[in-house]
Amino acid sequence: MTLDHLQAGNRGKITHLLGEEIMQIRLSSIGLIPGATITMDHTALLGDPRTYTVQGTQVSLRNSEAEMIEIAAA
Amino acid sequence: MSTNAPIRVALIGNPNTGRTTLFNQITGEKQATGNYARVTVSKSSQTVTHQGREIELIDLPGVYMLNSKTDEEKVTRDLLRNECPDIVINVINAGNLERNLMLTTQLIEMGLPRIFALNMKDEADSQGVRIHCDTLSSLLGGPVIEMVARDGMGIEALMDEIVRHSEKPSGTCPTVKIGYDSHLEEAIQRTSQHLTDLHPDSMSPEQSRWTAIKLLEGDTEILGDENDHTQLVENVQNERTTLQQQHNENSESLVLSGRYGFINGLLEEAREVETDTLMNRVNLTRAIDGVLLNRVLGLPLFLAFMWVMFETTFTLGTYPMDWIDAAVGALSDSLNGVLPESLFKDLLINGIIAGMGGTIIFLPNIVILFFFIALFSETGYMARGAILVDRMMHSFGLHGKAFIPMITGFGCNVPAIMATRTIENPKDRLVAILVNPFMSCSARLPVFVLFAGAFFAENAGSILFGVYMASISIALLTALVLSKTLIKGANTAPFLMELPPYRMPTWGSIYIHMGRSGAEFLKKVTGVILVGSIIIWFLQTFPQEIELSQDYESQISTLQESSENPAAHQEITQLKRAQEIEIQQGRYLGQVGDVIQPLFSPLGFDLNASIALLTGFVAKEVVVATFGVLYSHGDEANEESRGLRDSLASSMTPVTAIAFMIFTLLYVPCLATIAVLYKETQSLGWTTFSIGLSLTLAYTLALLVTTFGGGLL
Repeated sequence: MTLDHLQAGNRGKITHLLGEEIMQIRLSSIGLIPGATITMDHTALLGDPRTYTVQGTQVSLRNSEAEMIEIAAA
Repeated sequence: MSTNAPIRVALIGNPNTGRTTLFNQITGEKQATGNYARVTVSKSSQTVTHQGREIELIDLPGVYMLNSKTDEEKVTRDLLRNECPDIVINVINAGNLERNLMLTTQLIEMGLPRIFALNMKDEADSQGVRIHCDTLSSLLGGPVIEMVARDGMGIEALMDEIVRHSEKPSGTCPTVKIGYDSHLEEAIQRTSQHLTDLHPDSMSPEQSRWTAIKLLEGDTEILGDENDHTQLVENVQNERTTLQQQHNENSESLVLSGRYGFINGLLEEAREVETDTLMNRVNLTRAIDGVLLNRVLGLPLFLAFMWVMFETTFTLGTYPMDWIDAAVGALSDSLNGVLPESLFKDLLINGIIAGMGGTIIFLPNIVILFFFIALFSETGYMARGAILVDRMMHSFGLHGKAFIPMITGFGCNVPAIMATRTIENPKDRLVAILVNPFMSCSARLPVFVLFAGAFFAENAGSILFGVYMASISIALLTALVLSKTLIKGANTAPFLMELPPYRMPTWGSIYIHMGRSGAEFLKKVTGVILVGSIIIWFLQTFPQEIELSQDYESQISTLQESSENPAAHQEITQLKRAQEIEIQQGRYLGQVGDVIQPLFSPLGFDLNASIALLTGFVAKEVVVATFGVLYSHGDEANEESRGLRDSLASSMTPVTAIAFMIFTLLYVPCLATIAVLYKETQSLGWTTFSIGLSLTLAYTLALLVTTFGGGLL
């Protein structure tokens, strides 16, 4: 499944980054890398963007960006 | 290295590592810092002396990578490659090594002499992170200095290390090799060998390895450099294709995995984490977010904070305003008593003191507004604001990251427009630049405070809030129209953003923001406003001799002698007023006013208001100064000295006042903003467009308010 399907409070482990190369670089530069554990924290009013915690850092992603991240249950 | 030349030191690091704070601490500069990634968009440098050695410090923009994909990355990489600083200081946030070390791996591969400033040690401690500096130092190939730049801790040690390092013979920088997957490693070696053959003597082994890795990553800039060597470019393409086939992953990902491998290995050896403390801290930030980013409460809370900001700016500001006002009045009165009647006295009291004094009383409002902006940015709430409004901004064709430049625009549009550089997509950026002048900068604040106080004293804070909401709405609607018409294809850049943990703001950093804004404002008061006040006074006072259509003086004195009855009294007042108007029209200012007045009369603006707007083209603070000078003249005729507020209140209706505020809010940005607009868009067309748009919008909306506002109020 992809990250945008992760429910609030749940954890997943990043397995793959999808999408264009530049997007992958951007994602990995803020710590969204294969192997990292990620938790969904909060959702803005209209369901987008959301905040996540990955390796002790909080990041914020739009759902269209979270779709680029494959995760497995952790 | 010659011992006399300054040691050239480049500061480099991720955004949000305290790089600029460190720079300020060392140099004593007061550059603005913030708890979000926007501050250093171009490099700045400063020379200091330590142990008798000159050290030139260069502060580079915050970057995550050295790929030259954004402006910041380009500035940083070009400087490192072309100007070869003697030492690179890599500022690292000790609390977030995973991410910070990604940049470090790329620096290491460039083979530059380096020192690591392990900053925010206190934050790492509070997260329960222990770092073994000796191990880290030997793995990274450079000394590691622990610091808390904010409090000045570790600065001496860092400076000592810079001097010590510069005394070493060059070329003794230890080589650290980041190991890659074996196929990739072989490809790097082949490409690197090819490069050494093509550039004999000119490339060190580190340089050719770095260039090889960049080529295999498909870095367009480096590929462009090697464009002449067709064989090399072709080989690189083949290597990339082969790697892709062997691994089912492109070479960029392979390079990234190699770097992460290195980082993970390093952390394994050099860092210990007490997981409990880390989780407590993350949980604290999460808990605060649970309220501030709450799906239902988040946005209303955000609006409430904004309202409190403007309400406080007005209400708390009135106390110091009254003191300054009283002081200015006392000064004016005492000078009035002491000085003999002369043109100079008139210039001093009715020109300089009225103009500067009328403006300077708004200093408290500006400082208070900046206090709040600094507070939001330093605590980390500003970045949350970007999340709360992203969806809304997105649907208006603006990027969520444009939020921070927009809020910065409340301070001043010049740095705000520069701050749009953090937006990667050029079209997104253009939209963000073009709407920024509509964000009400602090120069316009005095106008709103004056008008809100004069016409809507009961609800002044809310009126202020309303003006700012109007400012945001107009900016958003403009963005929507622009992105649907002239600038199609905007709004495609990703939003992803790192959120700073909530931090207790330090007084020092907030004080810097407030002090800077206050100083800037005072600089304007003693500069453009002083000059403006003198010019307006001159235009209003000359020519001195004016031919009147009738002999008012004798008529008045005849009436005064003849009778004491009320009708005559009224006639005298009328005559005086007619005389005053005719004199005003005869002066240069009146002549200018005659030309522009017809333009503004459909909006209901009188001569004084029209002239005030005209002078505001230079800088909007001048608008209030102009009112100050214009109304100070009439005062002498009055028995009691009336404040600027009262003079204004009797000169127009509340509806006209709103139209005036709207006009001031929207019409042409000041000269400095026009200059920066041109600089950042590099387009005369877009600059002219922006000026035309603002004039059209200002006029149309003010006209609408004047025409239909009467029915609503």
